[in-house]
Amino acid sequence: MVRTVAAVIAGLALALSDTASASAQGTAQVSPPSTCAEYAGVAAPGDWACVNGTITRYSPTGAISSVTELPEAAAAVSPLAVVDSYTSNVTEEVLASLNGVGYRIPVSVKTRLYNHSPRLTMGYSSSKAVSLIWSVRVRRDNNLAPDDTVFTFPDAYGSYTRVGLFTATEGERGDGYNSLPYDGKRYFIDLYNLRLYDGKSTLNIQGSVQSDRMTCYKTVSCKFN
Amino acid sequence: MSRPLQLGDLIQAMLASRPSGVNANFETTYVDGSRGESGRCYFQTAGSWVVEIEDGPTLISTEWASLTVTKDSHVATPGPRIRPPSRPPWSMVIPSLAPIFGRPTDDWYIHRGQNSSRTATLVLESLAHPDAQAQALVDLDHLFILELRTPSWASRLDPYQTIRDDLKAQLQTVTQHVWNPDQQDV
Repeated sequence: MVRTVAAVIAGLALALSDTASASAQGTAQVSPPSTCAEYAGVAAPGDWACVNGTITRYSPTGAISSVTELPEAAAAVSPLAVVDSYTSNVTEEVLASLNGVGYRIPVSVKTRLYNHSPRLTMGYSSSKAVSLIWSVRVRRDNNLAPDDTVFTFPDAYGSYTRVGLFTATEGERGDGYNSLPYDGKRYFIDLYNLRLYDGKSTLNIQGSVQSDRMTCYKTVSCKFN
Repeated sequence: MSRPLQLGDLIQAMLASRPSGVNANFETTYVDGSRGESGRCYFQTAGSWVVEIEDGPTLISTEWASLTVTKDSHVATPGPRIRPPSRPPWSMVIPSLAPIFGRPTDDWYIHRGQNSSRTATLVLESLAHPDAQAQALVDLDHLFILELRTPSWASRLDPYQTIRDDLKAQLQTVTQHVWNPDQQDV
């Protein structure tokens, strides 16, 4: 996974500009945010979203005006999410402000491996009516080079007319049957191309929610490790 | 001699291309020196194919069912159809599966191209990391991707004309003997 130093510095610069405006209004000096949760506390007005340390800000027309990465984005995925060699359960929060409404949406992906076929249980919950739409893919985790997509699932989404928990499942004998490679490399499930829709506007959110890393062997089952 | 390429026309043709009776060897190698999925394949159509992975299983899939045959034990596991993934060899024989066209789900977009008499070389740029480049070599007669080189791996497809009867026979076995909804209805 590639994380450029420039991106992190750019993220800090943006955070500093936000905190500087807060300071100018008489608030106490605070250190730059390093996580989405910290950023939510100091973000300048306007539409924005933050997931996994990647901040997306939008112009009034809805176009993306900037994408920056917080130090959180450079951190490795927590190994604590691995339940056993064949199960991983990851939850990441999507924080966003859209049309003046703040959202804090936990997005989860549980991955259960059946040989080279993943079973995915994905979902999100929200106390405010908003639809989260996401794409799902299997990616190879390359060191010091862009990651590769090796399989793409159909999109999943929830409703913007009601609140609560929304889930989507990809069974191990469904679209992703035998979709994981046989080459001994490391792969992960990637919930990406996240879109937040409140019935009026859509935020196209950069950043993704990723499962733990699994190794997919030539002759035995894929395993989380 | 190379000359400018009508990229739009080539992209349209690649996205519409569907294989028919394609035999090939394929090979993937990583920059760390390890060998990825390599072997032989036979595509009767985009939905009926056999991919024999060296040191791994043989995957046989039709429009409605599949068999996964392990190399050592020769155990054949029936299953549902396998949706062709977006990695070699599938993405080289069925180019619309290749993540190189700048679509929201793709990793790369075609920055420029140049063709010689029978092939085109496409320079790809990463959608996520503008400083990363890759390269694809396309067979202009059949629209296969013959080579795909990225910063971390390279894949090669070597199509050949002679039908490999053993791979074709495996596909026919699955077609005739694995669960078939039409037979079930009889």
